Amino acid sequence: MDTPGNLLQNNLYIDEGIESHFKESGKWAKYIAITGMLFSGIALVASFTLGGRIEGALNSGFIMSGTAGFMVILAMLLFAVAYFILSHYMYRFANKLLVAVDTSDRYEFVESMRHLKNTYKVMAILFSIYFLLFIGGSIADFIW
Amino acid sequence: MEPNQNLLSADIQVDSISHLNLKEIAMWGKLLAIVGFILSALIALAALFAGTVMEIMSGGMPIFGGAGILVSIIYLVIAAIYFALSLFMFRFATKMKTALETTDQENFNTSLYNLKMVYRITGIIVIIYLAILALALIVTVAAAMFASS
Repeated sequence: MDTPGNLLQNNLYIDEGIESHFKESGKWAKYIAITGMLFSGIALVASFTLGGRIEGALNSGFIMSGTAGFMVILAMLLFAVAYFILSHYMYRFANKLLVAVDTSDRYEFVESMRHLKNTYKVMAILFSIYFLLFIGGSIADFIW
Repeated sequence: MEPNQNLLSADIQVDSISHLNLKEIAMWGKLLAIVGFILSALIALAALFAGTVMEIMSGGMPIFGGAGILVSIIYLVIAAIYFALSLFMFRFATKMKTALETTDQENFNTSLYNLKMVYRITGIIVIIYLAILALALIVTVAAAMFASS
């Protein structure tokens, strides 16, 4: 007797309606990913140029914040790297999905779903960190 | 003879690996949607206070009073778009979970339609953002040329 798991898996399939959804999703995702990679590149350049200026401004004059300038550069660098990783996963998802739909390649479909999972995982982790920082910052602001 | 398209479509089935991946995608998607709902509510809340903050910052100058309303409207639009995105993401995740649990092809279809909508809306937002950036660049260059002449 077949297991319920196998019965479930055999019944869900990619029909023409889903194929058109996948094609459009893939095209939009590819475009979003390319734009994201470009922006992460710009953020990386900005972290060295603008970050340096901000560091100079924060570490001179009457503020003299010490490591605050360095922290700004580090934050911009981390943002650029995280954004690039996210965009790269999305690009892989989109590319593999379009190939899977065009060539009906099951392996490419599995890979594209794996990359979508990674995209969402990275996104959720980043959002959680951002959320925790936001709450932590608010609490710190409230205390001081 | 059957069309090639149908033969291709019938080939891809949701196997055990994809089943597990989709289950995890739905779980993360749901988390992202819930965080999105909370953040969009916070942005909407910030919109309500934006006018007051601008008024305090302006020190009673009437020109900044209008700016407060403008900032509130911009925040509200951002909150509404973010809420819509999160709603599509939530629908994608819940319908995908149901589809995988009950082997419902219709829910599977609807779920992936919602995923398509998430990408479509995000893509359109990116286009609008790029257009605003291009416009800002043109205005800046024009202003610089005007100032130098």
